[in-house]
Amino acid sequence: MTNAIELRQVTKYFGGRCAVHEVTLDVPRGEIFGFLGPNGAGKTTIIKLMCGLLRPSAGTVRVLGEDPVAPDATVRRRIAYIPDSPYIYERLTAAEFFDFVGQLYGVPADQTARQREEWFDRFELTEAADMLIRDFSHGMRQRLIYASALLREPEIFFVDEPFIGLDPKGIRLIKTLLRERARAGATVFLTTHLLALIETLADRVGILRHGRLMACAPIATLRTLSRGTGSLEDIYLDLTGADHEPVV
Amino acid sequence: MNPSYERPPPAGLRLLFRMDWREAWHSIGTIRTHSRLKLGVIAAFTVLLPWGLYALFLSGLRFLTSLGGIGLMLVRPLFFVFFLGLGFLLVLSSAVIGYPAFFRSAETDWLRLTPLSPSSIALHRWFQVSALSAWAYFIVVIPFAAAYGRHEGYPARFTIILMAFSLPFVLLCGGLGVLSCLILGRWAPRGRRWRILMVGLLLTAFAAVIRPSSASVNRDGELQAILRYIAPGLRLASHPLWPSAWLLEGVWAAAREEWGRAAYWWGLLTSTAALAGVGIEAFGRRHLAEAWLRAGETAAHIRRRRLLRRWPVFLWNDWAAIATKELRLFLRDPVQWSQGIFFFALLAFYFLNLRTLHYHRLEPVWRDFIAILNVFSISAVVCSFASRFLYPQLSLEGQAIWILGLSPGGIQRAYRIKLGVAIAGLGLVAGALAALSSRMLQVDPVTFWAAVGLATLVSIAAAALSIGLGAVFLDLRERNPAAIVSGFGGTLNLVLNLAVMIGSTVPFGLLFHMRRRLEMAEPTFHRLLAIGLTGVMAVCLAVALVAGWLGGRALRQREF
Repeated sequence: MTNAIELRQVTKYFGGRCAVHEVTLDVPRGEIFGFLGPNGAGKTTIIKLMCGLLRPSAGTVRVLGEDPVAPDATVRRRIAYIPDSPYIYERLTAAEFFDFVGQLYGVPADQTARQREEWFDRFELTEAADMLIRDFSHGMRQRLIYASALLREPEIFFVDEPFIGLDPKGIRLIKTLLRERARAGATVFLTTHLLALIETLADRVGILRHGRLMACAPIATLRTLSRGTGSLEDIYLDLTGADHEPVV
Repeated sequence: MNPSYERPPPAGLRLLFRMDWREAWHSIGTIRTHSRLKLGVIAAFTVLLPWGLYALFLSGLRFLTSLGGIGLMLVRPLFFVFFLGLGFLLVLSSAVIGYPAFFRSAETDWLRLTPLSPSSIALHRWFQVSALSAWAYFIVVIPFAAAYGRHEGYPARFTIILMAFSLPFVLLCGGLGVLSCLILGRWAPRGRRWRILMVGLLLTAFAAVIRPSSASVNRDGELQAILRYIAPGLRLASHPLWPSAWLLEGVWAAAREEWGRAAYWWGLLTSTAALAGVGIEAFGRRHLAEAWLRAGETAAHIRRRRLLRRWPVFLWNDWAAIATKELRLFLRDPVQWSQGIFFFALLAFYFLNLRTLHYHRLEPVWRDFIAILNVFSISAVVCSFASRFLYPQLSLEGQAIWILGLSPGGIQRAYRIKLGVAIAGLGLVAGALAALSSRMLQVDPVTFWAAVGLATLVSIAAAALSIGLGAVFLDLRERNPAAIVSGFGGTLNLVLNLAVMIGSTVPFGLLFHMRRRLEMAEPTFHRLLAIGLTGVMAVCLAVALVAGWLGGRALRQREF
C-alpha cells in the first residue's frame, strides 16, 4: 500500500519556540489515522504543515507524493481540511456556498446540483438550503462544511476536532461517512480529544506530546507497548505523562 | 476519486466577484430585519450628511470668493491639497486594511486551500480593500464636487465626470497601499532589533518632515501671511507627478468640454491604475505564497513586557489587573491598534505640522478659531473610536465574563474599573492632542485651557456613554465587534455620542466666530467662554454619571 502522507524528521519553530520536534510518520492510503495529544501538543501545526499552510523549519513533508508548499503543487486541490471552526461565508445561503465550492473546484454544474441534493438530504440540510449561513447553528455549519468537502471527493481528509458542536446523530453520521470514504480509498487524518470515538474509528493512533511523537501504532499494539493495560484513555494518559519515553 | 481537480480552475476572480455580489445582495435583502431606529438613523444620515457637506463646501467656496483676489487664487490650490490629502489617506487606509486581509484573515487561509491561484486572490483583495477604504472618499467627494460645480457654474455632469475619474484614482491609491503591505509582508525584516531599527528610521524620517519653524510669531496681516507662507506650500500639491493632479486636470478639462485633453488624463490615470493591478498580479504569482508562509512563521510566544507589569503600581490590585489586561488586549489586536493609530496619529501628525504650514503666524483670532476647529476634529475622532472600540468591550468578554463576575469585587467593580480605564485613557489622549494643537498654534492661555478642557470633557462623556450603554445592551453571544456595534444599542450610542459632540463643540465654534464678527470685547468673550465651559462641564459630567449609573444598574439586574 502506498503512503498518502510521509513526514520525515519534521520540525517546526515559531520564533524560538519549537512546536513540532523531528516527527517522522507514514500514513498509507485508505487508512483512518487518529492523532491524539494534550492541548498545545502541536497537532494542528502538523495538520497545517501537511496542508501547506505552514512550512517546516526542518525535515520533509510529502502529501500524495508532493511537497505541499512547492509553488507548482497541485496537492491542495486533492485534499480537504476541516478545522474545528472553519471559515464560511455568512451572507451566502447553504446552497450558494455549496455551489460556490463546486465552481471553485471545477465540478460540473449538473454534478454539483445532483450531489447537493444527495448530501443535503443526508446531512438534513434540505430545508435549510436557502437560509443564510449566519443563521445556522455551529452543528449545521459543520454539516455544511462536510457536505461541501465531500462534493469534490478529496483523497485525504484532514479533520481537526470533527465532532465539536455535533449532536449524537451528527457524530454517528460523520463516523459512518469517514469510514465509507476510507473504504473507497481516501485517507482520513483526524485529531480529537474524544478517545472513545478514536478507539472505534481509527485504524492507527499517533500520540503527540510537546511536539514529539510519543507513539504511533494500532491501539492493540499500543496496549502491549504501554505500561498501561486498560483502555485508550489509560494508554494516552500514560504516554503523555511527564516521564514517559517515546515508544514509536 | 473525482477527476475534477485535474481541470484548470475556472476564472477565479470572476467567481469571487460573483460571490461578493451575492453576499451584498443578501445584505440588502435583510435590511428589513434591522431595527427601525438603526434604519432611521442611517436613512437620515444618508440624506443629511451629503446635504450638510454640500452646504458647508458651498459656503466655504463662497467665503473664499468673498475674500476677493487672494480667495480666488486659493480655490484651485486648495482643490489640489484636498485631493492629494485624500489620495494619501486612501493609500494609508488600504495598507492598514490590506495587511490583515492578506495575512491575518480566516477567509484568506480558506482560499489558500482552494485551487484559486494566489494572483486571483491578490487581485480580488485589491478590489475589496480599495472599496473598503474608499467609501468615505465618495461620501466626501460627491458633495464637494457638486458644491464646486455649482460655485463655478459647471453643468450638472461635472459630479458624474469626477466620479468617472475617481474610480481609477481610488484603485490606483488602493493598489499602492496593497502593494506596500504585500512588500512589507514578504520582505520586511523580522525580529526585535529590526523592529527597533525600523521604528528609529520612521521617527527620524518623521522628525525630518516636521521641522517646526523656530521663528517668533510674526504679526503680519492675513493677506501677507497667506501670500508669504501658505500659498507657496500649496503649490507642491499641484505637482504634475501626483495622480491627484491628473484627476483634477482631467476633470477641469472635461468641465471645459475639452474632451481630448480629458481623455488623455483619464487614460493616464486608468493605465497607471492598471499598472498597479499588473504589479499586484505579478506579486501574487511570484511572491504571495512565500509571503503567506513567512507570515506563518511569526513567533507565537509573546515577551512579557516589564513596562506592562510595572506601570500600574499605584493602582489597587484588581484595577491594575484589569487595566493591564485591557492594554495588553489592545496592543495585541492589530485591528484595534492600527485603527487607533489611524484615528489619532494622523491628527497628531497634522497638529505637529501646524507650524510647518505657518498657521501660528496667522492673526490670533484665526489661530483661536483653528484651535477650536481642531477640538471638533478630536471630538469626532474620540466619538468614533469610543463607539467602535469601547462600546463592544463588555460584550466581547463573552463567555469569559464569569472570570470578572466571580472575582472578589464582582461584576460591578469590574465594570467601574473598565469605566475608569476608558475615561482616563481616552481623556488623556484627547487632552494631550488638544494641548499639542493649541501649543503648536501658540494660542493664549485662555484658549489653550478652553481647548484642552473641552476635548477632555467630550472624551469623558463619550467613554462613559459607550461603556455604560455597552453594559445596558450587553450581547455575550456575539464575537464579532462590528456586529455588536451595528445593533440597536450601538446605533443609539453613536447617535448620543454625536449629539454630545455637536452640542458641546459647535457653540464654542460659534462663540469664536462671533468674537471676530462682532469684534467682541475680551472681558465679554471671556465671560461667555467661562459660562459655556461650565455648561459643557455640567452636561458632559451629567451624561457620564447617568450612562455609568444605567450600565451599573443593568448589570445588577441581569441574570448571567
